[in-house]
Amino acid sequence: MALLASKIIMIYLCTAWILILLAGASHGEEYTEVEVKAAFLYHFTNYIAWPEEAFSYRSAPFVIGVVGKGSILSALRRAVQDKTWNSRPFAIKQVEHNREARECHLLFVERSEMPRLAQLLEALGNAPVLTVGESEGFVQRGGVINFYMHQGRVRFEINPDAARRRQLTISSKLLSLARIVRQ
Amino acid sequence: MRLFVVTLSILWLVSLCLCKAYAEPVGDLTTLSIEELMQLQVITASKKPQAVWDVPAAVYVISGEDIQRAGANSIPEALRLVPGVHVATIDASKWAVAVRGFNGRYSNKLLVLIDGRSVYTPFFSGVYWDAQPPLFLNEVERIEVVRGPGAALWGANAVNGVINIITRSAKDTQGTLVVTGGGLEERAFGGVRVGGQLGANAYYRIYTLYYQRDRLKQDEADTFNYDDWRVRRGGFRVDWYPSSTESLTLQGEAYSGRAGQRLRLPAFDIGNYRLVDDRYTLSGYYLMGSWRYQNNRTENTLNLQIDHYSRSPIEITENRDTLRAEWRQRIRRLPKHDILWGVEYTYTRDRTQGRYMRVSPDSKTDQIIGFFVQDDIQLNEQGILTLGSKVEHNSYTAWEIQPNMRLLWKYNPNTVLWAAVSRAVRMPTRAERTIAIDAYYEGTTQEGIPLFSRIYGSNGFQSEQVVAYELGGRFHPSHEVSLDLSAFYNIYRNLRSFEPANPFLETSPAPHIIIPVYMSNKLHGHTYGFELATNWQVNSSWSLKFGYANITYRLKHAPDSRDPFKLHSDSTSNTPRHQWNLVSHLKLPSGWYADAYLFFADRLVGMDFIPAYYRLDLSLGWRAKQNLEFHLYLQNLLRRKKREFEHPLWERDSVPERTVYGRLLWRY
Repeated sequence: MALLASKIIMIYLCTAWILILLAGASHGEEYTEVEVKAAFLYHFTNYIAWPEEAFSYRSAPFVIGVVGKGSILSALRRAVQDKTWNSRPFAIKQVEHNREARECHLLFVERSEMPRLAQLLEALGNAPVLTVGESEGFVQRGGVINFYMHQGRVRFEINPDAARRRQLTISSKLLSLARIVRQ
Repeated sequence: MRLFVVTLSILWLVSLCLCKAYAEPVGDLTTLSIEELMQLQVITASKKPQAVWDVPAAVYVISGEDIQRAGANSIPEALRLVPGVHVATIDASKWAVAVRGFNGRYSNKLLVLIDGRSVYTPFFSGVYWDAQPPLFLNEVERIEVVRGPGAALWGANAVNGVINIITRSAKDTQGTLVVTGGGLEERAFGGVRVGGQLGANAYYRIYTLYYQRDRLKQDEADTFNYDDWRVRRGGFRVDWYPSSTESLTLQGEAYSGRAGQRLRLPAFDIGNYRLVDDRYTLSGYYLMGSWRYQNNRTENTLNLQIDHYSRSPIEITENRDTLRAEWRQRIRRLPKHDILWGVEYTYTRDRTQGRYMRVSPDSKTDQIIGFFVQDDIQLNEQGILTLGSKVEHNSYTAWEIQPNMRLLWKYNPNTVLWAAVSRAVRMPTRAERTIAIDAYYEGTTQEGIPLFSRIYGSNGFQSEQVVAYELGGRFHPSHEVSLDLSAFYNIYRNLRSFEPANPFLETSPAPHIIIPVYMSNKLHGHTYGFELATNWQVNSSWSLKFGYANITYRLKHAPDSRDPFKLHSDSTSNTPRHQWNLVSHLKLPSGWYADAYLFFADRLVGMDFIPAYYRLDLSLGWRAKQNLEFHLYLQNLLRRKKREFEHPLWERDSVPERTVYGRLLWRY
C-alpha cells in the first residue's frame, strides 16, 4: 500500500510539473517587448529608403544605434544576425554621446533617455537618421517613429513630416499600418 | 485507487498532447511579417529582466527601490528580502548572513562584493558588517544574489553564494539629495549627496552621511546590551566617458565609527567568565579605478583598488592594507562562443595586536594570483553550455582549481531550465593556521582548578571543498506570475572541526588548566534543499512576492575525530531548515504606497536552541511632490523576547526590538 501511495505521489508530482510546463507552453506565442521591438526595427529598414549620401563609402555598414541602457541590444543583434541591408552589413552600437548619433542610420531612443531628446535631436540636425522612440510625445517632439502599446501589443506611430525633413522615404505600406501624427 | 492512477495518467497524456497542439514558438521573429508582428502579445521587459532570466544559476535581484521601500538601512537587513538568504541579528552592528547553510558571525562560505570589490576579510573569512555602508542614501542600484558556487568566476570563498552590490553610476545620481530620518532604534541618520557634471562627458557625485543605531536589549536579562553603533562616511564617484567605446570610473570612500559589544570573556585571574562592555573604533578607506574599453569583438576591463581598514575591538586590534589589480576580457570573435577570461592579483598585509585572540606572527603578507576563463557556447537556438574554471595560487594551499559546467535550456520564451555541476573551495584563513583563541571557561577540576578551552589554528589546516549539483527553472505561466525554482545537492569535504588535545597547566596570572582544541578538517557530509521565488502582479497597483527556502544537513565527523560536537554533528544546524517570506507591495493613489513584509525562520539547533520566529514589518510612503518623499517604517511588530541567533563565541546577542522610524528625502 505504501508503495502504491508513493507511486501515486510520484505521478501526481509529474503531472504538476507537466502542468507548469504546459502553462508555459500555452503562452508560447508571447515574446518580450524588446524582442518584438527589435524585429520591428529590422522590418522598418525594409520599408524605408535612405538617401545615397547617408553612406560614406560603398560598403559602409548600415548602423543601428541604441541610446540608453541597451536592454534591446542582444535582441537586436539576434534579429539582424546573418542579414544584410541592400548588400550592406548591419552594425549595432550603443550611443553614449549625442554627437555619435549622426553616425547612425537608425537610432533607437530608450524610454529612459527622453530627458535628453531635445539635445539629441539638435545634434542630429536634419541628418538622414531614422529616429525611433518608445515614449509618449516622441514623434510630437520631432521623432520619426514611436512605439506604443495597445492591448498588450506593440503598435507604432509615424510623423511623415519629420521623415521628409530627414530625406527618408517611407513606403505607403508602412504608413498604412501606422497611426499618423502631424506636428 | 486504481481509477485514481488511471485518471491521473490520462490527464498527464492529454496535457502532453495539448502542449504539442499549441503553436510552436517561432525562434526568429524577423521571419514574421510586420502585420503578424503587430498581432503578437508581449511581456514587458521590466518583469523579466533578460539578464537574470538567462542565467544558468539561482539568481535573485533586489532593486534600490525595494531596499528603500523595505526601509533597510544596512546590507544585511536588505538581504532579508532575498529568498534563500538567512539573516539573523547578533547585535546592533553585527549580523550572521549565509546562503545555503553554515551561518555564523563570520559565515565563511559567502563572498560579498561592492562594485566588484570584495569586502570579505581574509583574516577570519567573513564580513565585518559594522564597517559596511548604510543604504539610506539610495546609492545602491541593485543587489544580485547568486545562490550556489560562484567560484569559477569569483574565486575561492564563493562556496555557497555570491552577493554582488552594485551602486548607481554618477550619471544616474545628478542633482542634490538630502535625506534625514530617525526614530526608536534607527536613532538618527542623515546625509547629503551632490551630483554634477565635469565637462560634457564626465559626471561626479560626492556625499557624506551620518548613521546612529541605538543599543538593543539582551534576551535573558532584559537589560540593554552595550552595542550602539555610529558611523560617519564620505565618498565620491566620477564616471567619465571619453568616447562611445570607453569609460573610466574612479570612486572612493572613507569612514570612521564606533561600535559596542558585550562580551563574556574568560578571565584567568578570577578563574571564571567576566562580562566586558567593549567600545571599539573602526575606520577605513578605499580607492578604486576601473577602465572599460570595448570594440566590435572584445570588451576589456582593468580594475585597480586599494583598501585599508583598522579596528580595535578588545579581543584583537587589526589593520589591513589590500592592493588588487584585475584584468578581464570578453571576446565575441568566434561565432557561437562568448568567452570571458581574466587575471587578478591580490596583495594583502595585516598588523595585529592580539589579546583574547592572537596570531603569529603579528604581521603577515599574503598574495593571491588567479586566472579564470569561461566560455558560453550557443549549442542551438535553445541551449547554452557554459564551461569555466578558475585557477588560483595562494600562500597556504598553493594551487586550487575550481571548475564548473552549466547548461541552460530555453524551452520556450516562458520557460527556462538549467543545471550545473561545480567545485569550489574555501581557502584556509590566517586565523585557521596560526590563531590562539581563549575561548570558554569550562568549569573546574575536582581540586578546584579552573579549566579553560583554547582554540588553536593548525598548520595542517586544508581548504574546505564542495562539489555542488544544482537544478533550476524559471517559469512565466502568465503575464502576471513568474516562478523561480532551484534545487541543490552539495557534497562537502574537509569542513572545519575542533579536535581537543591533552590539557596542560598554566600558572600565570593564577593557576589554571588549558584544554587545547585544534582546528582540523574532520567534518564531511552533504546538504540538500530547494528554494522557490514567486512574483505575482495581482493588478496594476498590487504585487505579492513569496520566497521559500529549505535545507537539510547531513554532516558526519570522521571516525577518528574527537570533536566534542561529534555526537550531534548530524542534527546541528545554524541555518533554519525552513524559512519563507511574503512581501506585499501596494501602490495607492496620489503618490502613496503601503507595504507589508512577513518573515518566518524555523528553529536553530546548534550550540543553543533558538525557537522559530515570525517577523512583521510595515512601511508607508508618500511622494508629496516630484522632489519630496516621506517614509514611515514599523519594524518587528511581532517582537518576542528572543534572540535570532546563537552566541557566536563571546558575543552576547541582542534581541531586535520593535521600532518605528521615519525618513524624509528631498531632491533639488
